[in-house]
Amino acid sequence: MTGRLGFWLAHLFVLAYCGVLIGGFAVQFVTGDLPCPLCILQRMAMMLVAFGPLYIIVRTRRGDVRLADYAMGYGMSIVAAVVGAAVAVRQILLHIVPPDPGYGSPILGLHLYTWAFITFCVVVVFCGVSLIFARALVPRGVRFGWPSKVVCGLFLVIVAANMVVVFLQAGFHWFLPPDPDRYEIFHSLAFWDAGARSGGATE
Amino acid sequence: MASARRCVAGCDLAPLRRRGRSRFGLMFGRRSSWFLIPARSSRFGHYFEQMATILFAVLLVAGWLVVRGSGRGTVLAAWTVSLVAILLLFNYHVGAKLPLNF
Repeated sequence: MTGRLGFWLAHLFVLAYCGVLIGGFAVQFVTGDLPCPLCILQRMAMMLVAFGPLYIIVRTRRGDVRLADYAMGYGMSIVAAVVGAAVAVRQILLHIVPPDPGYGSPILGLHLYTWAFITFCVVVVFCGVSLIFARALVPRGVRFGWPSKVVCGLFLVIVAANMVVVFLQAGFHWFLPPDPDRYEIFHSLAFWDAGARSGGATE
Repeated sequence: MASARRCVAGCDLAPLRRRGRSRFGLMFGRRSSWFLIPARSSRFGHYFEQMATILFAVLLVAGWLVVRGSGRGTVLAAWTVSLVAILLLFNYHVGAKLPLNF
């Protein structure tokens, strides 16, 4: 019973981060707030965090998951969450002086980088608790079925979509601007504004 | 003769020094070594912004390796490479000039 719980908690973990990353896309495309370089670093850290439970899910293909694999999965997540939290703290501190309105629009009263920091803290707590009860939560008697395939596929699609969007944002320039306000690739190719060709991305 | 403020690669160290920081960012302190990544404006420093697209590609490959059920060592190696690349990019941003209008 608890073995199944550990299995589905890993799915919930990956799905939660997929939701967060899709939410980031929603903010980007609906409100028009383009992610800054630190926001993109946080997205990367979220993906690294999700590799942990993804690894645990995929190990069920070979039958029961070993305790060592379970510990390795959530260990990877903790390390990546600490890195992500460091990036988020860096961005929070950049905008902490009171007159600074912060970067982007606040969601539910907090900026996205603050939410990112909260998610990384939640991950550390979740992984810690999972490792405390690791013997009980190691997936046993479960099958790698279609829900697992959907979760894995969704995650890979989101990583690929991020890669494409970042390429559109950076274009062929060496520099991703610290305060981006347009997709450089369209301006570089003169789809929207022929005059922008001479501008390019600068820092 | 070049100014004492400028390094060989031509980057201005004064703004970072005013903020009490080396050009290599907070993570590596003030010592410079050949393996450290210049924070900005050097010949090689430019490559670490464009790395965002490449890094997502690395993450995609690592994710694919995880999903296809590669061995423990392979997964760990791919994950570690991604993590180190992210840390290098973060180090680059930590050392970059900021428009702090204090």
